[in-house]
Amino acid sequence: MTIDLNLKSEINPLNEVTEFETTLIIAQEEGLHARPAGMIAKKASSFQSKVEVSCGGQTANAKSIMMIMSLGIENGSEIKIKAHGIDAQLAVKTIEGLILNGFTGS
Amino acid sequence: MDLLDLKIDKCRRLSGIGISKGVAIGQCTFINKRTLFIEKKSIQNIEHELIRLENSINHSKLKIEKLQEQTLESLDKNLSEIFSAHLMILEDPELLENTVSLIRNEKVNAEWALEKVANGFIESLSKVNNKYIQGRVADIKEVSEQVLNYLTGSVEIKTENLNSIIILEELNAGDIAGINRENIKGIIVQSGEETSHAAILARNIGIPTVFSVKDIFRFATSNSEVALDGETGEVIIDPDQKVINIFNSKRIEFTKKTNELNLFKNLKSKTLDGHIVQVGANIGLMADLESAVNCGAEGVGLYRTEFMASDSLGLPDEYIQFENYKRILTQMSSHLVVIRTFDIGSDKPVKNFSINQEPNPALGMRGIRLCLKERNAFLIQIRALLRASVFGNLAIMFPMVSSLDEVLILKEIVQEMKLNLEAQGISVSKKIQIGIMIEVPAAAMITDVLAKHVDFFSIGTNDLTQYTCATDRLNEHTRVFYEPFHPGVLKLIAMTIENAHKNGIWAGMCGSIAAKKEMVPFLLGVGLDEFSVDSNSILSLRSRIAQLTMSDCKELAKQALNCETASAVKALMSNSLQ
Repeated sequence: MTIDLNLKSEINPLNEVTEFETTLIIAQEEGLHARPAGMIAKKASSFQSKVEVSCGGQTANAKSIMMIMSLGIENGSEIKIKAHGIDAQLAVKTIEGLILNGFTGS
Repeated sequence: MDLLDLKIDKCRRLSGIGISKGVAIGQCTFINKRTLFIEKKSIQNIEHELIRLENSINHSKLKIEKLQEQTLESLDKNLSEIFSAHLMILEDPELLENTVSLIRNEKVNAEWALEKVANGFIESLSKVNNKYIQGRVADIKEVSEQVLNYLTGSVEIKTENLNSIIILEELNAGDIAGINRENIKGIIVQSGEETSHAAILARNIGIPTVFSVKDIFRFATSNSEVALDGETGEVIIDPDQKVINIFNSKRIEFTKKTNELNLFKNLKSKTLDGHIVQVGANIGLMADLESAVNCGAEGVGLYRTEFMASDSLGLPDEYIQFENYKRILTQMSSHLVVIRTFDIGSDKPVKNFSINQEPNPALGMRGIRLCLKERNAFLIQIRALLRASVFGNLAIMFPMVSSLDEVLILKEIVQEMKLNLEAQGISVSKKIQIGIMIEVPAAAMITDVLAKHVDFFSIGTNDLTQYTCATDRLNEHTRVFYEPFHPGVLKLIAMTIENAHKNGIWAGMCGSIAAKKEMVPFLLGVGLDEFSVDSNSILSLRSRIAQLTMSDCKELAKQALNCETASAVKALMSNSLQ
């Protein structure tokens, strides 16, 4: 999934601080282990917003590979991605896309 | 029978650079420097601690990025991915932020805080029931230990196995103080350079040592026996009886030679025709002082004061410095003790003092340049030196001088400190000598001017060669250009000594070529007054001098200065050996 940079201003033209979240099911045979966790952290780090991943009542900083891994997210778990900041929606959408595409993008 | 005549498998016969003479046979013991114990310390200066943390993390990142580049070239994708994972761990915001807040809130040292945070992650990841994630625990350990190693500096290197040859990936100058000699018969290091600081130090601890044995981890196992020759750099894995016999006779030969040399211990350093020079010792650690005395040093030609600072504590305070200077001066009684002010920077960085990551550190802020910038630390050193001066025969030497202006400022600083101390009723010796290292070609070229303002020169040939040949002496790729026998280097040496004598001052040499036996006749021939060498070279140098006559040496020097190439110089000098 590629995102046009122009999209950014369409989603949040005035650079307002917003909050956005989504819930999805993980379909990864081995769960969210190092490689996918690293990809999420890398993507999350490219946004200014604070981004969090929650699973099973625990919440982790999505920019931290180690925090994501420590959630121990298994195949079939329901997770919530939540962002807060000027690019919150884009952050959540991008990470959602990454997960739904089965971590095939780089 | 010679070792070369024996048929030995390629994978059992390895070679490296002989660093510390002697022969040893023993059991391979692999040393992992990562087993360290971190102490909790309370700190005053939080910002200082944060800078240390940042520097160490950046240092580790650079190291990993470099490794990653190399593996990309070799197209090893798995390895490259491991390094990517390591980088992500180092860049993890939670790791950094939690460590920073621990340092801030609890006022603790960076290493303790980092270890605690990393252990927290390790613990929570170990609980996750996923074999892929558990596999990452090792990565976190490895990465955090790398940063911790950088933060703590030295670690104790020891082994419980009797008769060990210890094998390490790398040995830094800072590690050598931590070597516990018990049980250690020999040292083999996979990396390392002949002229590195670590090599100079390793020579002094008196354990046979070979550096740069590239394949040692490939071919040796912990069950292997290994024989090594610290002079030739030969390493034989699982030696058979024939090889053992050869090494044993080498050992007997070495002992015999050592005994012969010991006869020179209490003699003067004198040529056959009665010309007398001084042979002093280079020392770094306090342990070197003992070996200097044991080897019959006529004083100390170079005390590397920056060695007091090579651990995580930064620079030593005035009290520690004063006590060390006093001890050396007292021990050497009437002999001259040349103490060089902090030569920090380049390949000898000190945490929190030297500037990190200069693009070209050898040409950067080092030696006296750094001291004149960080004036306070320097003033403390001068004060400690002057206070200690009454306990013996002190000479103060400044490294990396490149201009007369620097000499004048340095002399003024010493003079002012002297007046200051005397005003406080603290006595200072009246006969302190002030000298400079000649290691920058520009300084060598104006030795006629500089000689009028100082009491002596000491030629630092390692750096003089590096700067004259424009060759980083620690860079493996440029090693061929590093040429102490270059006629250009020899001319600068001869010129420096000539200008010293014209102005009635003495000239010494404290670089490693002063101990090279083929170089000695030349150095005598151009009139060198003092040789300062590692303690274990003192006696062989003295016996070498005793075989020569000044008239031959002068003739040889004349010819050498007329040589057009380094190889012509070498041919001439090795002929003179016969």
